[in-house]
Amino acid sequence: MGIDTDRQFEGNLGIMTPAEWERMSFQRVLVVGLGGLGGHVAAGLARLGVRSLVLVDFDRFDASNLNRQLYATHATIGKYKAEVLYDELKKIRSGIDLEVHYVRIEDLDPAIFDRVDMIVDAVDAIPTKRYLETMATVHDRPLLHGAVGGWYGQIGVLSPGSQLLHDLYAGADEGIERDLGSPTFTPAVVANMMLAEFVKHVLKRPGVVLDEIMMVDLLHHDYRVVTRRKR
Amino acid sequence: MVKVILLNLLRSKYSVESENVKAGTVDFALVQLFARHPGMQRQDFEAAVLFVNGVRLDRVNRFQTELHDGDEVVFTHFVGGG
Repeated sequence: MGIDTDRQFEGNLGIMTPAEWERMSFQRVLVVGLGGLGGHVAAGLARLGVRSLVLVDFDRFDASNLNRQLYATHATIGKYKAEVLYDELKKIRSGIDLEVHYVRIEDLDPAIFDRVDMIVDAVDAIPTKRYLETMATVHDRPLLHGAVGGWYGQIGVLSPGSQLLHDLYAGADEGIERDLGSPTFTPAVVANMMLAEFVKHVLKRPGVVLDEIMMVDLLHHDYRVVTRRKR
Repeated sequence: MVKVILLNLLRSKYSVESENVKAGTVDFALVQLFARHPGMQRQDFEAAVLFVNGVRLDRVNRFQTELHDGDEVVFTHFVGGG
């Protein structure tokens, strides 16, 4: 394990003051889903300087993850993603506080949502996305939504009370990712857009995609909010 | 006029980003769109998610929704992968 240094976050201080960084760093974030999106989001949160993460994923790495998931390697196939993330994030910041769970989020005590400041939706199951939106409302926490499929993605920060995901997905259980899969680059791009929204939301910067969903099209480089914010 | 925007799969398939059409209903908007682009298939639009001015329309009778000058219609698809 490495040794944390005072310099390791200085690259972030060009876009925020030391006081803002300090405030951001004390966010406790729940990342649900540690695949294509979640692996990049969790690593990014650690590299931003967030001190405390709760990581949830029931799944293990397999060969089909190698094309896109940050910590999927031939050495990690068969290992729980949460277990691998624990080891890798400790290499980034040895002092980071990590709580990991190798079960479905629906099987955890919902009190877990009360112990975090923000919930990250990085799961690949639409019913679970709806569950997270409901839990975010019940436990009065913001939800950072992300989703990918083919060239396309979605992002948005949803306030408690949001019904945007329920409205968008309606009764569907899967989207066009079923046919388009998930190529190497889309989860990484969308995950890092989610990280930008995390920073903007926590630091109250303008331009955050708040209570809206932005559709991301990497084929045409079209980034467009399609939902209207309720006022 | 009504602005009809195609995103994601529909834009890729038909190489059309947007068209301005006369007001009427969603169905009338599609009729005008298909007249300009004869290769477009109605079933692709029936499978899409439809937003009018940022509000998603339920599937039932959505093509009968009235559109007015200045309205913006988006046909797209959602993704759910992680």
